[in-house]
Amino acid sequence: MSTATLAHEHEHHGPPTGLKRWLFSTNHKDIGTMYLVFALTMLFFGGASAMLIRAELFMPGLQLLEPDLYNNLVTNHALIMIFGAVMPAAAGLANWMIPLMIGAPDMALPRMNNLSFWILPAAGTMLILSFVVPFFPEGGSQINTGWTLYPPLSIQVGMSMDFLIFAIHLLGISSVLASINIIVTIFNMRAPGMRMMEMPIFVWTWLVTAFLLILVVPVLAGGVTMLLFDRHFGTSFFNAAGGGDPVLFQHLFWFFGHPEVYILILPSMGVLASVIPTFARKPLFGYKSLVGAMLAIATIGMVVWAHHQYTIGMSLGAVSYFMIGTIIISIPVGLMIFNFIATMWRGSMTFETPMLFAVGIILMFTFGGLTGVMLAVVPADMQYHDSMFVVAHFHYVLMPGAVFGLFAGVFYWLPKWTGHMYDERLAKTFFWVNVISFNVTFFPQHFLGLAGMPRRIVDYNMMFTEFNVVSSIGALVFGLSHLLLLYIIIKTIRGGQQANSRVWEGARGLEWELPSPPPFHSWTVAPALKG
Amino acid sequence: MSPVNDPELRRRNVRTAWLLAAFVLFMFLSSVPFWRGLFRFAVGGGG
Repeated sequence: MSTATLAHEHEHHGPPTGLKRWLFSTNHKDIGTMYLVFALTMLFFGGASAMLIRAELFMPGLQLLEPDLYNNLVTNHALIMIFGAVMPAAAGLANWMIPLMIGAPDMALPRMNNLSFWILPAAGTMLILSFVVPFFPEGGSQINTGWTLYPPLSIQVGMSMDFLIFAIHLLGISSVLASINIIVTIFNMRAPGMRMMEMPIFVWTWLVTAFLLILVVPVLAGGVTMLLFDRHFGTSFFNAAGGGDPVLFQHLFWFFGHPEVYILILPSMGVLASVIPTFARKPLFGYKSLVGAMLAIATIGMVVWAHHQYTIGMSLGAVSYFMIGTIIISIPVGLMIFNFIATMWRGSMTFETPMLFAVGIILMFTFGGLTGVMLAVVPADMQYHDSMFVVAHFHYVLMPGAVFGLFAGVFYWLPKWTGHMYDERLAKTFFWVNVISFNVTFFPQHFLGLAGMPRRIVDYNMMFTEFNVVSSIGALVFGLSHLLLLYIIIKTIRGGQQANSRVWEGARGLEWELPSPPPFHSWTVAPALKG
Repeated sequence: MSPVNDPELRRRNVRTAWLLAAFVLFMFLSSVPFWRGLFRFAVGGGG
């Protein structure tokens, strides 16, 4: 950091104190922290619901849960994890890191940044209320639709569905406001001389993600608004009796739902693009091709949504188009993976926790991608559809592709955020327990699906017992392992070995020019970029 | 003047944000007729 920057920063006031600091914060670091804390909290809610689901499936027959409650848990687990945990965590990393990486003093619209965050707790409360409401007198039936909210079932559910629709509207508003802020920040706030093709890949991934969000979230909002109208205002968008068609909702939902997968994955790929060069001690291989691959993924990902709906009876031409398009996506995704491996090739690699996660992600995400190609093939999908194979597939895509990437990012930047090194031994223990138990949980589900066990079913045939027992034991360990993550984070915040500004020997980028932790107001004088 | 307080930059930020917000509104409002039209086209066999 230049002396001029330091001198300027000392002129500024420090952070406000008490509750006001958090309620009225317009500081990107504070808001980033709040996003991350919120995401971690929701991770435990979503994780608890997953552990209840797996506890019920430990043995055939009904043990703990009524069928409707089981379905409600399945619905809420997905929505909480996607909208409450993964997206806010990625937004937390974006808030913290994008201004630091591009040499901006803050986000472009700091007050809107505050609003984007504070909508989230309200939305999270509505989401949890949608789960709780049916337990009250006159609370209506439980939400048994799954996260896809397909009509006609979603039209018949009680008032908890209205809470859920309102929660989705709020979550959508929060995401769109945050996306607009991120795009404006990247376009207008870069340090003088930083061209688009010189931005860190993490910033690029968020630019693409933010554009995807503003393209698809309004369509979901339109879909659930139409659903709300069908429920309460006598319209028949999705009601066959009134001339509508429930399949229309599926198109609206998946036009959002499929790009949502890339929305969840891309920021984590950006983390990998930061972590791998650092611990391989080599520059990133193929910067331009990575940017191109991301743009290709976003573009093609927007036009292949109906591969989630092969079984609805589309024309041969339509399913052929969606099958070919889906398989084509594996090319840019494969290119990204190739670039990460090529970055490691002949590098001086060390395996600190972020790098362990990066290597694990490459292996497991590729595996999830391969089962995705299987599912993209129409005749095969007709067999796998709505089976546990699909559950195994998307958990192999989303856990390594999104969640483990966020873990890698947290461990990579935690010393920068807190000024303390985390406990490497504990973190590596967390990695191994987490990754092994993840595989114990989800790998057997491939076999369950191939053998014919349907998903979203509270009870199952005796023949599926063994693999379900293994999967549930894995899930118990997997869920509990996150308590270790919580402990490591709290321990790091409270103290530990002092981290220097360039925490990792191989780290490159503007964020490492600032002290650890960075001052409350950073880059108040734009950094001078080296040529 | 630091970039945080530069009025010209603030105006540019707000302008870009409004432009993006207008795009979001367009996506929201057009989603209903667009998807209904596309759906009719699809079930009508493209005719």
